Amino acid sequence: MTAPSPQVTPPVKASDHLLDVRHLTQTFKVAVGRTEATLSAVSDISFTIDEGQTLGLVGETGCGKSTTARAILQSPRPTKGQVLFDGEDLTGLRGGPLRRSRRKVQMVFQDPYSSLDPRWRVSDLVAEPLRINRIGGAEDRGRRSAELLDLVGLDPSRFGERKPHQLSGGQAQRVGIARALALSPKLVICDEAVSSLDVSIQAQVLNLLEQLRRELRLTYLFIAHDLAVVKHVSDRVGVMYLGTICEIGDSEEIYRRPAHPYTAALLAAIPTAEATSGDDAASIAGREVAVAQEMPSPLNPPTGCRYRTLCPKAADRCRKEAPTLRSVGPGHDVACHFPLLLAEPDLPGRS
Amino acid sequence: MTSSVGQPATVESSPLAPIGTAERVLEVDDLRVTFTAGRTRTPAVTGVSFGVEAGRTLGIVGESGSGKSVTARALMGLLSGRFEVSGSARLRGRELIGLPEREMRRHRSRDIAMVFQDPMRALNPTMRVGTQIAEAVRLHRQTTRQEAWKEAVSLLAAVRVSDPEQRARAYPHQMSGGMRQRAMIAMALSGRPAVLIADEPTTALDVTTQAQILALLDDLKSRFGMGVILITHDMSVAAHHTDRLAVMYAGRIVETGRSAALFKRIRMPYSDALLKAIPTLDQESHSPLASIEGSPPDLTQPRPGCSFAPRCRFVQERCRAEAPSLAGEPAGDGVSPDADPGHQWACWFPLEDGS
Repeated sequence: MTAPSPQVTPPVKASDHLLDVRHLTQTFKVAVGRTEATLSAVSDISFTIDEGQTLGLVGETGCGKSTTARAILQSPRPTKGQVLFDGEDLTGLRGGPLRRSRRKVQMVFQDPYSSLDPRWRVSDLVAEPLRINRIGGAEDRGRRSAELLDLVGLDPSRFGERKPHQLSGGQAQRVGIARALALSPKLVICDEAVSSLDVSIQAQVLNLLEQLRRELRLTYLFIAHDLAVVKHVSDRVGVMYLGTICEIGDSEEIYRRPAHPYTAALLAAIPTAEATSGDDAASIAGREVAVAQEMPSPLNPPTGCRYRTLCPKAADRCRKEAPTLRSVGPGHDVACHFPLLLAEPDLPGRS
Repeated sequence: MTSSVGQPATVESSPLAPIGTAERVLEVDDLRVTFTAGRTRTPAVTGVSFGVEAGRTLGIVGESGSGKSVTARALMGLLSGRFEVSGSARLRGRELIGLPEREMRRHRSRDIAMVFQDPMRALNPTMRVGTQIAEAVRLHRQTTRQEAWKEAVSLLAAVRVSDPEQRARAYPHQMSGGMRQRAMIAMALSGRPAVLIADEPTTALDVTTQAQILALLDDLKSRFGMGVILITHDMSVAAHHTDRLAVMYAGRIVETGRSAALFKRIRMPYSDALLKAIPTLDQESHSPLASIEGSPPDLTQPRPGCSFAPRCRFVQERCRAEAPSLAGEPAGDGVSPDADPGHQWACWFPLEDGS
């Protein structure tokens, strides 16, 4: 971890958004052999989320989605940039004030079991955030814990006494959600919160998250690698690649008219259930099998546009000059020198 | 057993044979697996039957606990101790169930091989990937180390790894998840198996890598003339990458048939619900998903009736009392010409128009 840059922080303009992330950069010092190298996990990203909205953040393993989530929570603190949450710059807060602000931002994790202490009862797990923050007496906390379990669709009399290993994956994730809601947060960060669940259970949990958003007027940052899941819950979607946001905009727009070649590639890779099986061998014979391509290392990201090494449209300019986000339509920004705008994209699922 | 794909041909190997004449390389009949822990006996797999043809993919779809992975492990002879396996699985006519471990080891990977979900756990972290593949080669054939290494490199090339000579010298941790899965597939191919079982091979991978690995498996089954069993929980993966499908629930096959025909007209409410629970790109944001309420049954507590009845939207009295068995449309019932005569379902009240 590097220390935050020493220069004086410029005065921060107030924000109309619930969350306003500005020029967020996160680098880590890592040992490579005997030398120290800088890993650029997140590089100068900016986005906002309005109250009551859901921003989806998609991208593949190692693109910096989870690092972004942690940098918002100041754990660890970002190397550069500002995180304005509910009118306050979290990067400027320390100690008590930071802890108080952070209560309003809660996280739901991917693996429900590993985020629950196996020795604790469900009712105590749900009350734990209240206890840590010394909110209410034991009795109040018990009552609140039962309320929360009810809210996530678990009968407190049936599930309160259970231990995590007596829960199914879906039930454990509901407990994780109840814990996240214990402190009445404004913003909930879901980091691959449904990725490890079976499809039928995934649908249940997604419906629950939607219901909670409406009832409790929650704001979500929804991080996932599954584009269809993200589209389902999001008002706006940001696509990340190798630590940068390459495209961000209204979810319908992004999916209907992706402007970044990487977004288009991601969309094309989704198998759809509509198109039925290829007519056996015939379609397979005609299908080209791509040679495996690898995302470059964040230790040594490409110059210019970070996607250029895999991009079919890469030109000389992409090597020399890093594209910045610019508008290509209402509420639709893309960081590409040669955005795909003319042709209607190939919708996935063509046979 | 279904017989929709014609008589099993007697051809030794026919990688690109047209439909109807592909050789049946694996014939599974009434497979049963029971797991015993203390006094509890769990029927993990109950009366599962299917066939696998050379150059074709059979998809086994189901959720956690449906018995799909246990089925695969039973075929590989990887279940022992507290698992009791019965029934029959004939690989090119030879019975696998009940073989002593010594003999099974000869078949494993030479006749039937498996690729797992998590390649990192299946690879040795302290050995170069090429060395591990070469070792697998030398298990099947007596060759020099150099020859085996060369074979390992060409297997890596066969699974479309760029720079195979260089990649062979890499350690597993130096590879991405997709690359490691390719290495695992290369290792599985080293014995030129007649059947390759891929158990959730892409579940841990990113969507673009997943698409590449699935396309690779499609390509390999034709080039190597292998039968592939693709185990997945994802109906959309199954829709694109299988020729035949078996949907499992609570240890039984609840619907089976040719994939193309089955997806056109799903009859079993569980298959339909499984498909509809997947969010798709053409749904509006924030629209409710068709979820399947409740959770899969506890197999240690057998109940009468259809095992899906407690979660089924169309449940009726008969479903709770009597378990339906797998059957197709009665003959001569105005069956449409493109219907699959091998399409079978286990349901008293099958869906009429597939929706």
